[in-house]
Amino acid sequence: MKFTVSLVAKSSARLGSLSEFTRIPEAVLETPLLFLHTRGAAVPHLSYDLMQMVSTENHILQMPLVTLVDHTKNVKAFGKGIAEFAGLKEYLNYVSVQDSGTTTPEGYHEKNSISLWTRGGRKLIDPQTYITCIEALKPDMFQAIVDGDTTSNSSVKRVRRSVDDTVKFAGICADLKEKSEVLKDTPMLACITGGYNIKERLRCITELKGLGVAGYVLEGFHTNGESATNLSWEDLEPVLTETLGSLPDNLPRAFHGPVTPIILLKLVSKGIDIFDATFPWLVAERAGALIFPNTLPKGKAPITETLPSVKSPALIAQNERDGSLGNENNKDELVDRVFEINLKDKLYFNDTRPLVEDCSCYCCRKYSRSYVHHLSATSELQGPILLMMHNLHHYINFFRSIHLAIREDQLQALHSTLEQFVTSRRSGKLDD
Amino acid sequence: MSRHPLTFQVLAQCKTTKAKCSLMTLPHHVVETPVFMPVGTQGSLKGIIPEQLEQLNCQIMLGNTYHLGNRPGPDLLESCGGLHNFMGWPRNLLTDSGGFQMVSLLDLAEITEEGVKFKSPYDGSECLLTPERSIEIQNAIGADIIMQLDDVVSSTVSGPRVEEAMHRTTRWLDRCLKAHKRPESQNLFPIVQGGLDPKLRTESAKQLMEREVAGFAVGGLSNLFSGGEGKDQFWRMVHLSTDLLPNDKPRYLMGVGFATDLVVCCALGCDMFDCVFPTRTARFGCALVDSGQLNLKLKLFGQDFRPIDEKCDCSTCRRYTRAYLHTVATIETVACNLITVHNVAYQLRLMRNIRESIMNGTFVEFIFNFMDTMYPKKDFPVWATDALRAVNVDLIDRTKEQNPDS
Repeated sequence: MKFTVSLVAKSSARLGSLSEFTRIPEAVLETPLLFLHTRGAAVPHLSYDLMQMVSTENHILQMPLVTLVDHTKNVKAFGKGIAEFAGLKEYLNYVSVQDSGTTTPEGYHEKNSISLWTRGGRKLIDPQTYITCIEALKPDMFQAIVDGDTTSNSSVKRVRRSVDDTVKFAGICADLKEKSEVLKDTPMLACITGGYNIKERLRCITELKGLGVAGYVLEGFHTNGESATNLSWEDLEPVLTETLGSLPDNLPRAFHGPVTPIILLKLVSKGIDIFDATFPWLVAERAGALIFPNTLPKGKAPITETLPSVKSPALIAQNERDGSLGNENNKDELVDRVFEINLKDKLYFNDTRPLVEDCSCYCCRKYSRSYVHHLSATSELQGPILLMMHNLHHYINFFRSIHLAIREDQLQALHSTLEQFVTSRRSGKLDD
Repeated sequence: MSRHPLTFQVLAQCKTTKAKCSLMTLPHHVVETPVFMPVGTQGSLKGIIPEQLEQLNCQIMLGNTYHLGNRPGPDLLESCGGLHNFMGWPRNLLTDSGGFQMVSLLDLAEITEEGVKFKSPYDGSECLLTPERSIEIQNAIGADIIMQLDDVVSSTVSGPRVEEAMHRTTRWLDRCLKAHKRPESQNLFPIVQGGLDPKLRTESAKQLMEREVAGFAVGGLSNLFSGGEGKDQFWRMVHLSTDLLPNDKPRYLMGVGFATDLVVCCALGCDMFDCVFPTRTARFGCALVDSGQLNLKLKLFGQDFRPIDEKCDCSTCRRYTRAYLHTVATIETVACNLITVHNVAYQLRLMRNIRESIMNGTFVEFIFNFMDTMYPKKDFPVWATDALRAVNVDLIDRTKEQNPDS
C-alpha cells in the first residue's frame, strides 16, 4: 500500500491518497477517507446490491475483529479471506480490533491479552491468537492489537499501563507478521495510546520507532460507541497537537469512532486522514436522518426549512438534575440529535417532503418523510435500511466536500457553515 | 368488454388435472397465473425494497388492511394517492378485509350482523369494523384487488354458527358492493365460506356467483394446515369450491403457501395464493429449497461454501454462501434481506415452473419430479396423494395412464 500526500492546507489538513493495494491494484482512494464500518462483515442493513445503490465507487470496509472472531475458524477453512467469504471481494477491507461504533466495556484489560466482547461473551485474545485470526481473514490492511482502554478520567497508572501493553503487543504483531507467509506484505497500522497524557503519548511514539508500519491509529481517547460522540475538543486538542506533531508526515493517521461532523472537521484540520462511518450508522439506528449541511455554502442558505430545535445534551442533563423538566426525557435523549431529524417524531406523520431536499440518494428520490416515519413507527426493517442508505450517501458527499474544501482552502468556511447550523438549531424554547 | 378493471385470459388448460395457466390484467401490471403473492403486511415486504421485488418479477403483493388501517391510517394513505405511491410499489397490490386478522389477533372480537366489534389494541376503546368501513379503508389504500369483509369462522367450529356465517358473508358482500366507491379501478372479490360442510360450501358459492364480480376467493381453510386430519378436509373443500366456481374468473385460495400445498392446489384448479411463510421463515434464518428448508443457523452450514441452491439465480445465491449466511442469520439484519430475496425467488420460480409445465402439457411430469424431490423416501403425505388422485394423478402407480377418463 502506498500513501501519498498531495496537498497540505494552511491548517494541518492534508489531501492524499491510498493506492497500490496488492489485491486491487487499480484502486485509488482519496484521503481524508471514510472507511465503511461493518458488523459481521456486512455494512449494517445493506447487502451488496443495496450498497451499490448508495455508491459504486471503491471503498474500504472496516471489519472489527470482535464481530468476526466467532467465525474465523470457518473463514480459515474457506481459505480465500473474509472479503470473498462475505461476498464483498470487490471492496478492500481493513480489520480493526474493536467495533468503534459500539461501546467497549471499560476495565477488562489483562496482562498479556485484551478482551473482545462477542455475542457469546468475553473472549481473551493475546497477540499470537490475534495474528492467527488475521491470517485466517486475509485482509488488505489491519490494525495491530491494542490496549485502548482509557478515557479522560483514567489514572496515570492505567494510561501508563496501556502504553506499555500497546507497545509490547505491537512488537509481537510486527514480528509475527514478518514471519507469516500470509501477512508479511500486508500493511499494518500501529496504535498510539496514552489517553490524554501528553508525556505518555510521546513515550508511546518513541517506543514504537523502528517498527515497520504503514500508518497509525490514534486510540485511547474514548472507549467507542457514544463515548466517541461526547469527546471534549478542549481536552483533545492539545494532546493531538503534540501527538501528531511527533508522527511522520508521510504516513496516514486514522481516528476511529462515531465523532460528530464538527469534531471530524476539526480532526481533519489537525491532520487526521482516515475516519469511519460509525456516526451515520448510530444515527440510523435511532431512526435519525442526517440533515446537516454537507456542502460548501453556495450563496443561498443550504437549509430553508425551520427544523425542530435540539437542546444540547449537557443542558438536558442539567435540567434533569434540577428537576425543571418533566420525566418524559429518558436516557435516550441525552444523545445529541442536532445533526439529524428524528423520523419517529409524530411531526413527520404527513410530511410529504423527502428526508433532505435536493438529496439525490435512493430514499430521498423515492420516498417521503411520512413513509420513513411510518416504517420507523411500526419498526419495519425497511426503515433502518432506507435511513442507512441516506445517511451513508450524506456522509460520502460530506467527504467529497471536505476534499474540495481542502483543495480550495475553504475548510474554515465549511466549518463555519456547520457551526452556524448547530447554533441555529440550539435556539428555541426549552419547553418545545 | 370486461365490466371490471380486470381481464382474465386462459392460455392453457392441463388435460389431466384442473390446473390452468392464465394471464390476468390489472390496473398496475399484468399477472401470470397461477401466482404466489408475497405478503407485505405494513406497507413493505420486511427487509427488502420494491426494486428487489421487481427484479424478481413479482407482479402482485399483499398488504394488510387491519395494520394499515391503524398505521398510517386511511386518511393519510388517501391524501398521498394510495399505498402504491406511499410505498413506491408500481405493480399490483391486493388487500384483505381486515376481518381475519382482527379475529386472530384480538382477544375480544365479537361478531354481530353489524360488523366485527373489538377493543382497540392502542387505547382499549370499542371499535366496530363494518363491511362499509372495511371497503372505505380499502378504497383509501387503493389496491387493485380488494376483499369483502366476510364472517370468518374457524374450521374447527361446526354446527349452526357455520351456516349463519355463510349466509351473513353473502349479506356482507352485498353491503361491500354497495359501499365500494372505486369499482373502475379496484376489483372486489367475494369469499366462499361454509366451513367443512359441502352443502354449505356449495350454497355459498352459488349465492356469491349470482353477484357480478371479477374473481372469487376461497376462505376459511387456512388454519387447517397443521397436517393430519385437517389437511384431508382442506383439500376436499378446495376441490369442491373449484368445481363450483367459474373457470373464466380467477380463483384465489387464501393463506396457502408451502410448496407442496401450492403444487397440489394448482392441480385442484386454484389461480392465486398468498402466505407469510416464505418471508417469515427467512427472518428466522431458514431458506427454501426443493427438498424443504435449510435452517442456516445450524452449525453444519459453518463450512458449507455452496450457495443456498446451486440452481438458483437470485442475487443472494449468485454471491453469498451458506457458510456466510450461517454467520449472520438472525444476527445481522442484512441476513433477513438476503434470505428473504432468495425465498421469494424460490416461490416465484416454483410458480413459473408450474406455469411453464402447464403451457407445455407436462404438468403431470412436473408434479412427479417435484414430489420425488420433496419426498425422496417416497413418504408422500396422504392428503396430497388423495388430492392428486381426485384430479387423475396417481403418485403411487405411475404406470397407470394419467387420463381423466380412466
